[in-house]
Amino acid sequence: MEFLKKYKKIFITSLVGFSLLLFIISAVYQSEPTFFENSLGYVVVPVQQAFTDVSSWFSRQIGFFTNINSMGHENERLREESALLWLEIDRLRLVEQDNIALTELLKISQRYPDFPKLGARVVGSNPSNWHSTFMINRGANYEIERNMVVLGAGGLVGRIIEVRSNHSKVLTIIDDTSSVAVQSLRTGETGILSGDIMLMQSGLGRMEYIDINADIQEGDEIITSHLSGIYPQGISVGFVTQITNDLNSITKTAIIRPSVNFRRLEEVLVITEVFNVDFD
Amino acid sequence: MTSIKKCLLRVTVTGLVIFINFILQSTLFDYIRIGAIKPNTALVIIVCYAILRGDIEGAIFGFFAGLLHDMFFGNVIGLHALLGTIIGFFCGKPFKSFYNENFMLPITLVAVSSIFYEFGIYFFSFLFRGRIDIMHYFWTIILPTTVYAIILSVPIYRLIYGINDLLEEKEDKHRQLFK
Repeated sequence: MEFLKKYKKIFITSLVGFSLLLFIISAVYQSEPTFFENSLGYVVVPVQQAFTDVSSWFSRQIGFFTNINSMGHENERLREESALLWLEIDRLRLVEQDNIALTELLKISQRYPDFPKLGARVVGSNPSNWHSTFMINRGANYEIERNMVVLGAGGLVGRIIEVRSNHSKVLTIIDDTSSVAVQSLRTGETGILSGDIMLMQSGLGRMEYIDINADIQEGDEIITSHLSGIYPQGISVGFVTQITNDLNSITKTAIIRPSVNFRRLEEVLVITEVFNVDFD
Repeated sequence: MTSIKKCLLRVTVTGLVIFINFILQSTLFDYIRIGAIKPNTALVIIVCYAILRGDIEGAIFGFFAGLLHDMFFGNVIGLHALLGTIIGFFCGKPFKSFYNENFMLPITLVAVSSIFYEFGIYFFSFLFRGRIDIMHYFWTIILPTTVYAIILSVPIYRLIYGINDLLEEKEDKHRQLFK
């Protein structure tokens, strides 16, 4: 180790140079997992999973004591809600039968096919405060591919951006680098939902480029639109909480509260079908 | 113990420190957010280790701690490794001229390097995408992260100091590896 001390300057320069080199190489050849990343995954992911299990168990135990008072009310409310939902399901079954008959009649292909889904568990989230990405415990071994869509309880979570042999990385829709083409369910007004780091901290997103005359109001449900390249149409994204007119007076912007709570994400569903080829 | 064995012991223990910290950061620390801010313990550990062991070891430590983060969560590989190397190197500079027992040094260095680190990330992955409202980012992300890091720097410094003490006792106190 005397050797290191002797060539200190060369050593430090090479360390910095090496990281710059990695920087450039990985920026050019993006998301090609190397042998190192894959093999490290086999060490890190099981341990992470164990830690996640333990910490979510603890948080559930704490939650048990804080929530026990409100449980009775919630249970009652949920019973009522489930009765209503059963009625709704019965009605929708009829509608679906109608729909099948009519599509056969019109000879158009099914517009909302039942996607093949795969359950996955969240094993770790990005430690950085600048990004909102997380890892799931399914990778190339379950034939996950890049740009597959990830759903959570209630709606859209994001998409797969990197696949390794036993885990993959998910970019959430509230991350600063993410954008999704969305539309209002009620009126079909379109816009782009893009993440913003300021809103990401409170779990919100921003819907931009809505026409100034668009009929959109607070409480409207937002779904993925037909303009979206990666996401299939009709997945629930969230609800409008606030609308402001932009300075240019051509467009307006809405703040969206996603249907999914990104803070407490434990299990997700991956749609194992890629809807569009990668442009790059 | 022979020199190789001592070296191996230190490498194993410091590797474990990096590994365990990474696991904790990506799992457990999600539950101890203050506001929306997670603590950046990797940075605090890099600074503490560099103060205790000097610039070269600090740089190596910073490099690998950053590289692990990059491999699993980085958008590009090398950004956190680069920042870690620089911080580890410069925080190891006052190694010879300060007492290790002093707490003011780690606190000051953690504050300065946390601001540097967060600005580095902002510069490379946000400024280049046209997010130019720098003061806004400073008040909402960089400053809270720094404050959180400062709060954690004292207990973490104690911990790293203890680990380092044990290791140095196992090794020869008067013949340190990289000195």
